[in-house]
Amino acid sequence: MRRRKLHINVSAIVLITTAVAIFGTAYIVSWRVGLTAEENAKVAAGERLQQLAYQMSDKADRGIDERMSDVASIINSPDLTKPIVPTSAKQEVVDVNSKLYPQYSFVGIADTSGKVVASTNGLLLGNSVAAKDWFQEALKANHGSLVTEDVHKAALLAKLLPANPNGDPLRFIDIAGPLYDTNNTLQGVVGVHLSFNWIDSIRKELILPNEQRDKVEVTLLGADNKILLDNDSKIVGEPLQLEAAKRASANANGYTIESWPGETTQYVTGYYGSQGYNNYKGLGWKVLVRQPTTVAFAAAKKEADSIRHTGIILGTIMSVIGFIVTWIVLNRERKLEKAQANFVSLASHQLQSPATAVKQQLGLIVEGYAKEPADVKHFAEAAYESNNKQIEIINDLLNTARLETGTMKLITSKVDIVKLIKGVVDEQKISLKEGQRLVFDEPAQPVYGIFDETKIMMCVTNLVSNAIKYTPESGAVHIVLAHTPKVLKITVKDSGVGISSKDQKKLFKKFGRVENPLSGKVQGTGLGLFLVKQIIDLHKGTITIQSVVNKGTSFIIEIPKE
Amino acid sequence: MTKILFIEDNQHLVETYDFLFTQQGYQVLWAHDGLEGLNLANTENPDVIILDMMMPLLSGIDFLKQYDVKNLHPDAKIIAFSNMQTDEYIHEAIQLGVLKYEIKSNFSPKKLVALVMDVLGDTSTTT
Repeated sequence: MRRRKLHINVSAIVLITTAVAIFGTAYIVSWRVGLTAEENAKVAAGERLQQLAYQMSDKADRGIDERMSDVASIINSPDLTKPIVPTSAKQEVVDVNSKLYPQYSFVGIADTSGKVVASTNGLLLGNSVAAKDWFQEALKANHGSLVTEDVHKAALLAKLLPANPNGDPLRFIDIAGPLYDTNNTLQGVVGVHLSFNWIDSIRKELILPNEQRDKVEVTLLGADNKILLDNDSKIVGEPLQLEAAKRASANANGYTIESWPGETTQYVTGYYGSQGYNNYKGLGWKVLVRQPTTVAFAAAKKEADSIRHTGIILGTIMSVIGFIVTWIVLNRERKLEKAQANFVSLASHQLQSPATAVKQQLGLIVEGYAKEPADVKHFAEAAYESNNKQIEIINDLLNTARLETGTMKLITSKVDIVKLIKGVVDEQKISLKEGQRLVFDEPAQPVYGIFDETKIMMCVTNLVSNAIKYTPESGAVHIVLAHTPKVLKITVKDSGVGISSKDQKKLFKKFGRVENPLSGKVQGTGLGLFLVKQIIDLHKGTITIQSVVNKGTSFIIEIPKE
Repeated sequence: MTKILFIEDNQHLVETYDFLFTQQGYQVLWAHDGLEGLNLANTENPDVIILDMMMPLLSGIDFLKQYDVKNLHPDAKIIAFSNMQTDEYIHEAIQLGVLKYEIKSNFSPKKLVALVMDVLGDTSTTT
C-alpha cells in the first residue's frame, strides 16, 4: 500500500512538473520572443524617425543647391556679362528672374561700391548693402564662386516686405556671387534672399498628417545648436542642449531615447547632421525628428503583449496536452507494471500449485501416511502427473521468454499433419471426463506440410486441451483437418460455454487473462493462446475464433504448407 | 466427528487432503470452487475451513465477504491456505476474518495436520 502511495505521489510530481515545465518553457520563450519583438519594433520606430531626419536634411540641402544654381544662372546671364550693361538691362534681368523664381523675396544687383542698382520690385534700390556680409564675402569670392549666409533677420528688407501671416519675423538665407563681365572685370555682386519659410514648406511636405497626429515633430538646429525651426516658434533662436544634437555632427545619423529640456516626456529622437549637397557645402544644420516614446513604442508594446498573451494561451494548452500525454504514458506504464506484477504473481502461483501437489503426494508416502502398496503407487503416479503439469508451465514461461527475446526459431521439416494430430488425440484422450468424446475424422492419406513439428504440436495440444477443459461432460470435441494445395487448416471445435466477443479480443494477448488474477474465474498462466498465436504468426499463418456463448467455440488455424 | 471443509479447486490436492484427514478420523467435506464452498459452509457448519484463495466462480476473498465471518459466523475457524503471497491480499483476508493465512507450499502433510489440530485446540497426537 505504501509503495502504491509513493508511486502515485511520484506520478503526481512528474505530472505537475511536466505541466509546469512546459508552461514555464512556453511562457519564457514567448516572453523572450515578445521582448525581442518589442526591441526590434523599438529599433524600427527609432530608425523611422532617423530616416525622416535624413530626408528632411536631404531635401533642404538639395533645395539650397538648386537655389545656388539659380543664382549662378543669373550671374552668368549674357545680358549681365557684357563689359557695359545699362542699368535698365540689369533691372530687366532682375525682373525676369524675380518672376522666374518667386521663392526669392529679393533678387538684387549691387555695384562694386555696394549700391543696389537693380532689385525685385525696386526694393532697397539706391541703398547701400556694402556693410552686409553677403555683399562683402561675395565681393571677395573668386570668379564663379558663390557664398551662402545662414538664416538671419534682415530688418531693413523685412520692413519693405509683407509680414508673415502668423506674425513671426521674416528670416532669410542669402546666396550671392561676384558679377564679372566677359573681360573678367568685377562689375558688382548679385545676391538673392531666400525666405526661410521655404524650409518650413519642406517640413510640411515631409511630415504627413498621420505623423502629425502621432506627434511627430521636426526641429532644425543651426551649427551653433540654436533652434532655427520648431513647431513652437517662440523658442526659435534658443540653444538646445540634447544628446541627439551633440551626436548629430556632419553626416551622423541615428536616434536617441531621452527627455528634452524642460519636459518630463521621453522622446525617441531621430537626428541627422547636414553635410550639404553637390556645390552646397552645408551650413552645419542638424535635423531632429522626435516622437513621444509612449506613441512611438505603442505598436511595439502591443505586439509584445500580443505575443506574450499568445504564449500564455499556447503554454496553457501545451501544458494541458503535456499533462494528458504524460498521464497517459504513466498510466500505461502503471498498467504494464501491474500486469507484469500480476503475471509474476500468477505464474509463481501456478508453478507452486503442482509443486505443492507433488509435495503433498510424496509427503503422504515419505511421512508414512500412505502405507498400502496400492496407495503408494497411486500417490506416486499422481505426483508424476503433477510434475508434468509443472513442466508444462515452466515450458510456457520459457517459450514466452524466447519469443520476447527473439530467440525462438522455427525448426522446420516435412511432417505428416494427420499423424501429428492423431498423436495429440491419443495423448489427450486420458484427460477426457466421463462421457466426453474427442473426435478426429482422420483422412485416409497422409497430408504433408513443412513446419516446426514440435511447436505446431504444442499449438494443437493447447487448443484440444482447452476444448476438453471447457466442454461439459457428455459433450464432444471435434478436430477437423482440411487442406488445399497450399494451406493446411485445422479446426478444433468444442461444445463448451463459448467465449463472449469482449473476451475474444483479449484472448491472444499475453496478459489478457491475468488482468484480474485474484478473481479466480480464469485459470492458467494466460500464456497458452498467446504462445499459440505467436507460433502461428511465426509460421506466417492465422488463427481465428468463432464462438457462440453457451453453444461452443471453434479455433481455426491456417498455415501454409511450405 | 470433527468436520473439516476443504475449499480447493486442485483435484490432486483435494485427493491427498481427503486421504490424509479421513485417515486421521476427521469427516472431510470438499468443494471445487468458492460457490460450492459457500453452500457447504452454510449448510454443514464445519469445525474448520481450509480455504484456497484462487478458485473458479468465487474467489477466496469473495467467499469471505459473502460468508461474512465477522457478522454472521464469528466463531468460524477459517485457515486461508494459498500460494498467493501478495501482502495486500493477505491483509485483506485477515481483515475479513481468517484465523491464519498460510502458504500452501510450505506445508507437508504432517505439518498441515498439526496446523489443523492447533486451530481446533486438539492436543491428541497424530500418526
